[in-house]
Amino acid sequence: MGGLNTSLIFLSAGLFMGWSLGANDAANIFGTAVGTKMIKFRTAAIIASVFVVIGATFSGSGASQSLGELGKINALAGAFTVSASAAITVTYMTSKGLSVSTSQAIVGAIMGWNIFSGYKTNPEVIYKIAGTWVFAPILSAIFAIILYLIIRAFLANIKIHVVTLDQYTRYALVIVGAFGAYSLGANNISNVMGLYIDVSPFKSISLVGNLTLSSTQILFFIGGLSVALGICTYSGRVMKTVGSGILKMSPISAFISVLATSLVLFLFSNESLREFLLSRNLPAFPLVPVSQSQVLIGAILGIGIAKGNKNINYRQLGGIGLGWILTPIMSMVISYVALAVMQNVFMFEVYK
Amino acid sequence: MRIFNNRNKELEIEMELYLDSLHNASLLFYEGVKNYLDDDEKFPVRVYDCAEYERQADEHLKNIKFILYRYNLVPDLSADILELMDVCDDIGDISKEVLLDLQAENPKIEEDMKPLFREIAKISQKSAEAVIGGVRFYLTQMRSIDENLNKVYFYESEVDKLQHDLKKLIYQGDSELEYAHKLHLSYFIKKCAALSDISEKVALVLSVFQFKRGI
Repeated sequence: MGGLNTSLIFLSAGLFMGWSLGANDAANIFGTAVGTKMIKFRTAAIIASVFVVIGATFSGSGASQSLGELGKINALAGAFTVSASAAITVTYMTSKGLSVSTSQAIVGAIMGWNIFSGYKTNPEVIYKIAGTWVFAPILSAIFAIILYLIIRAFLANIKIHVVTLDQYTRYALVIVGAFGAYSLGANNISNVMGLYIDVSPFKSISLVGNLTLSSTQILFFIGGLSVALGICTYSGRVMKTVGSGILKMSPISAFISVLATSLVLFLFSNESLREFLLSRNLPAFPLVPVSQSQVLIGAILGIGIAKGNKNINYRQLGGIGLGWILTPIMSMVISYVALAVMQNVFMFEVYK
Repeated sequence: MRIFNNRNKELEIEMELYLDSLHNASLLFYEGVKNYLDDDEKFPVRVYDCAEYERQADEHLKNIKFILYRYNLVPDLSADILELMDVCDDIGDISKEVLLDLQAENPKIEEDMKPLFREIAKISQKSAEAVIGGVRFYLTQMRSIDENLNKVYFYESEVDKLQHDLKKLIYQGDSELEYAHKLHLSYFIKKCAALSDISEKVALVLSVFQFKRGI
């Protein structure tokens, strides 16, 4: 029991990351819908919470493999320190108004552990992950452009009452929101709990029928619950800000941007799709945790381009680029220093 | 748990009925003016019917406002839709007002002036019809709005020309009417033409909202 309690204390850094993810990233999915009062916050929170937990538990392992390839953290205190370092980076950069991604913070923190423990970082994995950060927003923009043009052409050629369209848009926002939450859980749970896979204190359990939850799935389920807690407790405020302030979009544009974002997250986290593509000798997407916020910005830019808006906010793009470099570096430095403190001051074993 | 307040169909029907009432009021406006000029006995019935449609339009407008706000439907466009519906209300108001004024003030219109009066009423009614059609397109099929807007602008300018011609006929023609009488007729010309002015006003609002309704 004492061991489990200690384990839970060490998991707290990951759970905090989960809470933060839920508080901020759920707003990217339901922000416009809630901010424009298309969907009630309570409805959005319930849907997002349920689907984020499902995505995390049943599809979360794909993206976590890349983090495992990057660095195999083999001590619970080490996982805690790395996770906490990433969380500190995210919190600090958010407070400074800088574009920040939990994925990038985690990667930087793992690299800090690699340097500290002497674990050799595989440069190919780094290229794969970094390449994905650049590619994912571009892919999202392409998806958004295609979706925008299709939907615009479709709406221009059908006769539908604005009130009926509003009703369908609400349904669409709920469905795409559920998909978005599922993809978020599947892709980003590795940022929350991925570090603890090799040091998981849980054992597999059998549920009804043949359904068995592996140790990793239990870990991801708990992580998913922390994301859900973040959604229920804090995302409402963020959603209202997103919906009415920073990103002003029509509900249909919101639908397009969330769908494009969710598709990208889905592609970068779905193992079955990857296996399907590889079995047919087709190029497959690497299973890597990507930044949902940055993918969303890519989608919004895509919509702007499709609308013929030439006023692209290069400052915002620059912010993303800066985040790609600054976040991992900062997180790596904090992780390295924190690991040294944990090992040498608090005498915890941070690697084996 | 009830996710949606399914009042959409109700709102859609209210909007349709509202526009129908306004359209009918404008049709009765023309028929009423025609009957007045022809000294037809149906005129009082037209006045009554027109007032009734205007009353119904007010009732539908009240329902539209209630449903839109109470159930928070079309939140991103509700302000535009309400403004559009509000400005359309003037079509019914002015239609009724002209007929009631004709009934109450009973202006004497000389025979040579009647064709122009009739023409003004007819084209004004056409402009109202075109703009109501435009509003229907705004609500259902954005692509077709422009054609209706062009018609409204055209009809309005035609009415302006006819209005000028009729005024010239009144003040510079052979008429031996007193100046006060001429002023009275002038007032009625302005009233009849007001329907096309209102239609143009709605068209201008519509042309702005047309862009805002994009995705």
